[in-house]
Amino acid sequence: MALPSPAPTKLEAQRRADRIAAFRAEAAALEADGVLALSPEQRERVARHHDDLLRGFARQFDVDVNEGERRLSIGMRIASFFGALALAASAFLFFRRFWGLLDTPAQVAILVAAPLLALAATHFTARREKTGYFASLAGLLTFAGFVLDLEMLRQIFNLTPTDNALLLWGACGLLLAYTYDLRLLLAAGLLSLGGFLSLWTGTWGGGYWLDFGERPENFLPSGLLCLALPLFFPHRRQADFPTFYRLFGLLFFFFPMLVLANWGEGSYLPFSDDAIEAGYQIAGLLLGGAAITLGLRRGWRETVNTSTTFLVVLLFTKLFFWWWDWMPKYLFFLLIGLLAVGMLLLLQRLRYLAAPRGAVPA
Amino acid sequence: MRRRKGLLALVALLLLGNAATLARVAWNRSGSPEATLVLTERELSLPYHKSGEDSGLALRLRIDDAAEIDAAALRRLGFDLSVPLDSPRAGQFYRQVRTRSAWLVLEQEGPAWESWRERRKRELGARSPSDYDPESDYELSQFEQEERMGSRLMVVEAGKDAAALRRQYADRRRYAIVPGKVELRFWPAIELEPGKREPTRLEGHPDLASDDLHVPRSLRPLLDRLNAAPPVDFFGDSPAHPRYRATVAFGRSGEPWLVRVERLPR
Repeated sequence: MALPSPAPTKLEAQRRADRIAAFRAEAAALEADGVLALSPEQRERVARHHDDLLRGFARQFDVDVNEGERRLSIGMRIASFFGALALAASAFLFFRRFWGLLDTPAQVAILVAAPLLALAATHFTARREKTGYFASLAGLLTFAGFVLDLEMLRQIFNLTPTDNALLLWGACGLLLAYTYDLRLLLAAGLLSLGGFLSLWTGTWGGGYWLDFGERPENFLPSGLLCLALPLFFPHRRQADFPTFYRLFGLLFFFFPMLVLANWGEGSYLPFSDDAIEAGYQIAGLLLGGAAITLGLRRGWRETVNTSTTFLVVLLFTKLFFWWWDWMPKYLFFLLIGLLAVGMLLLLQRLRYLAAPRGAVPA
Repeated sequence: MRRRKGLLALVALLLLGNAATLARVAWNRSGSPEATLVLTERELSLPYHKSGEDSGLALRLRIDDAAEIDAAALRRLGFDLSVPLDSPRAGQFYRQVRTRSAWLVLEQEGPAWESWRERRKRELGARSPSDYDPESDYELSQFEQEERMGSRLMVVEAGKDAAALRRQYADRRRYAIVPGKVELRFWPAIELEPGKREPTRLEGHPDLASDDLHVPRSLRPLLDRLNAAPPVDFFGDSPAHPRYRATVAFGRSGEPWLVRVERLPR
């Protein structure tokens, strides 16, 4: 059976498989209601075509073709994530447990070889297995091995910590992600590069690089860059990667706003703490609302969810500081509940406004 | 094809990261050391906590806490000290100032430490008997403890140009120039008791960029024996006298390494 041209990516194949499952369920319901009556030949032809497609997708990408497989896949993804974390922790603790018994050349040889061996395992598993779970696990080991490698070499030779290590770790994460289509490694790479850009922003004016976290505004350029990159670089092969760029972009952007809305002292801005906090509260509300609207219009679920969470946390922290000591507790929680209802109504309205005409009943 | 290129790029990146790190080490340790100091347990302490999970050993390089950087050096480092300390906006202005990277000049048991000791002796001697209880003189016992086991490694200068600092502090067996940072600390005026007022102060507080000194396996036997011994005093954090001395070399980048460790006679 020939796959549709051009050759789909794994994500596209999974979406097609999901549409086929939905079509089958809906067609069966319509037939049961007497709305649709396909002839046995039509039904047979469609079913054979879909079966061929699903077999092809399963062979090429190992996609989930039914709900049971989908649930199992989520379980495997979670197991692969925690397995990777546990193996990385194990490698780190194993080295820490025995490194003092080794001479310096042996320590260096092990540290240099470890990520290279893990990379060979990543390449091998990615070629042998279509799902990517084992490659993801080995890929995270490669990344963790490289982090351990440079950090332990620094300790062994008493080198001064340097920001360049974050740049190398970020490049390693992104290369692994794009070479083997690994989302977990994309997250690791974006965190490292976001950290690097933030501390670079912090040192720009002559500040000490390790203190970059003391000024939350240092993270804002990382957030903007993460949000902008998928707009300029379309990801046809890794169609789900832009979701991660937007997710980390929003986290890098909204987290500092949340902190500064409550702690004006941490800002670079030459205004009073109260003015800075008020400014970030207003900016947070406006930008959070704008991000939710944009997310609904574009169908970016992660943007809507992250922005909503940000707005809820921003509102509730401020309300706590303003009202907790000032009013009876029952009244405080009543107001919180009413605000939650108001927010639900607002989101419902936004959802309606963002939906294409005719798609949602008025 | 895509994976092959990606694999090659990854191998190159891993090798490049290691090569760059090892090249830094080679550069730092090439030629004669930039400085060589003989330190004792006062300046290089064993770890406070022992963990069976970590077989490595690192000594902690301690500098004297009293060290301060003067205003002229702070200005040379790029700190803006233009707002008078008595100005109402001084507090907010100086709390906003960011910590800066700097080269620090460390002096081992030299004039700065002698001067600190003499000053403290004078201060303690000048107290009137009504200021303290002679039976349990806490300040005096603190001073004696500091004199016995406190670090004698003092920061005497900070600057942006390591070569210029070396010209100023030429003795390579007493002065080491190491990477560090300087932080501004603003202390508003406080009334300690009626009529006794502590004025507003602005301090330049130096600190090392890295204070761990890894001990290679060949230099560990003596330190392992001492580290395995039970605590030597009631608090378990300070022996009565330094038990070892160590020769520490500082390379071209100011990064140190251990050369020798010897037992000190009791």
